[in-house]
Amino acid sequence: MNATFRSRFRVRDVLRTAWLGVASRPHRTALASLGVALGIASLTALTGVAASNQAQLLANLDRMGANLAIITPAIGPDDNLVPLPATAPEMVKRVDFVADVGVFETAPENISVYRSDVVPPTESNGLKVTVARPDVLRAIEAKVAEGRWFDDASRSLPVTVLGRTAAERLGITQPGDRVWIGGQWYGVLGILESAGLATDIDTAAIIGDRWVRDAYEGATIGEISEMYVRAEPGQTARVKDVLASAASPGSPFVSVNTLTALTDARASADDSLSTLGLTLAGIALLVGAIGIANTMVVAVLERRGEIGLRRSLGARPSQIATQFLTEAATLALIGGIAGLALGTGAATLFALTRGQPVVIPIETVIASPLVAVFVGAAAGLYPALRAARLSPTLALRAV
Amino acid sequence: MTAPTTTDTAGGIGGRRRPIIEICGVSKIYPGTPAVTALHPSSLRIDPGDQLAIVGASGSGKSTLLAILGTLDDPTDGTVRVDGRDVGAMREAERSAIRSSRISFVFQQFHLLPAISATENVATGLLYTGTSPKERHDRAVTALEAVGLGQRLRNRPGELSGGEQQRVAIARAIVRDPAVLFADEPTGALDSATGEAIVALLTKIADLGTAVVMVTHEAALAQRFTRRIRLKDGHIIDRYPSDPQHASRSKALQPARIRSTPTSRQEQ
Repeated sequence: MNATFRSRFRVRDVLRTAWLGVASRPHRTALASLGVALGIASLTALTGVAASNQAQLLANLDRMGANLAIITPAIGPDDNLVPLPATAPEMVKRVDFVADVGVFETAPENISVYRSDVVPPTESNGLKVTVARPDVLRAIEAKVAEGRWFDDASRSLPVTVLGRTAAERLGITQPGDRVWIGGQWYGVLGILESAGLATDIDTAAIIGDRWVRDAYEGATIGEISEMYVRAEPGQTARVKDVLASAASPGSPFVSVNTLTALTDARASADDSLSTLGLTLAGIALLVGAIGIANTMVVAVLERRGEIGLRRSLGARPSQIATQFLTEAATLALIGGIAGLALGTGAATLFALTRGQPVVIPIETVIASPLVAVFVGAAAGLYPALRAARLSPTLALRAV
Repeated sequence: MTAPTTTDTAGGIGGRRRPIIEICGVSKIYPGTPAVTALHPSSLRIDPGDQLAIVGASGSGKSTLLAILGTLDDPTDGTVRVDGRDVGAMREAERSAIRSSRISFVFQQFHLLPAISATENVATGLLYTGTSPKERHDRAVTALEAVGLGQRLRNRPGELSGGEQQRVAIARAIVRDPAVLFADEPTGALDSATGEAIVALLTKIADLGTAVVMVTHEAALAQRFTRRIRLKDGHIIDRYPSDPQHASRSKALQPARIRSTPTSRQEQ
């Protein structure tokens, strides 16, 4: 007899009973879960839009140089620049979170660029000649407007790639023209688009490093004058601290500069957008939770007969509470899944119409249903306890 | 489902029965100003296979008595024993277990769940007993066939007549194979012919060994039961047969009883 003095309620039965309560009242279910749906939709849309905006903003900031560090030789005790070791680029590339390294070399002395050999040497137009290795293009994130950039062959030839401003001032619009640099003709290989961060590039005639080493003589030829280091997004501060020792181990005569203001702006943009989005979504969810709590309170009142019946069939108060709690959680889960779909759609639409990257944080996708279930259970707690506390006889009397 | 020719099959061992439910000096007072005494101290026992009708006008305390007998409500004073165990000393979980295994109810308003079929409604009767879903379903079908609704297994309550709905509720009560079936005004929402058929079904269930306790305000229906008590203003004022210990259901004491099979569809 003792064995029968226990009433049991299987998990499967709990879920089925809760589903029955939800599925048999489709309109109420739709209305009740609407609040959570909107909450989760806001959560998803806001985090998606914020992430998309942020990705866009960060990309802009990075293009402007937020993730850029510039390594230059510093002046030593003898008032001369202490050259960086030739191994510096390789060493810097090995630093964690370094994406690209671009190396500029010292230009031959007293060398300028002219439209032709008849232009007086004093009219240099504020243009200068820069010596670059091919990896510079990626590091400064410059784009080629016309023609080509240096490759392994052309870096050994008397050819030049002109910055935007340099090309304009020299009157060059097409590759294939010639310009007069340092007393000899150079073919124009390409013309760059305006480079956002390295404005120096705009006014430069860039010539290949191997050609300079072959054609010119001088103590400083082949030395590194500048290294542009592009860090992984958001990692500039971490990278900056180790660059000096990586570039020239043990030497204090290395200078590393970042665009500090931009780096800081990037970090704060990262934070403020996320906080705003989460706050708004939290408010929306709270409203959704109140909606579910309200629906469940009404449901408990309306279904007193059912509660009384279940008690008469042997349901314990805890089983009644479990049923209503599970129903509330199910309502919220339905809302959560609908909201996730809605919010993802909205965020995608937003990003696409503005030409921004579509970013739906995976955390949101995973967290949304969980948050919804938690919100639903919390909202259902009070109604469920009320249902459990209902006296069976009173419940049965009320129809 | 054939009525047994002898009625002592549900009797106890050695000629002496142990009551399933026994109340002693039980009263119920609802607090308030003024406090309402719904039931004055009363004693009653329900033995296996009993047929007990509780009669009285509305407000006489019969539903209160039924709720206390069925462990749905606590008495203000007195003791309630089920299978010899004091219910007052039990935790709620234990009482729920007693209800799920020993006691069934049939209500005036049927209390069927509208969204599910007759079979599923009847299977709900076994939901809190730890029975497997497959067994619940099979037993529900058997119970529905026993009350004559073998053709209505898939219908929802809204698609059934009042009498059919009450039969579903009765099937839900007997599917658990309870020791006692309490029926609280089971014919109250039905027309008289249908009510007669429901009472016939209940007495038939009693003949098969389940004690049936029915609350009703219709004296004519109560006549079909072998034991009757009458309540007035919270007092048991009349007992038939007069000796409460004489609870054996001798045929000689019974008034003329309508013999009816549950499959007859009188309600239609």
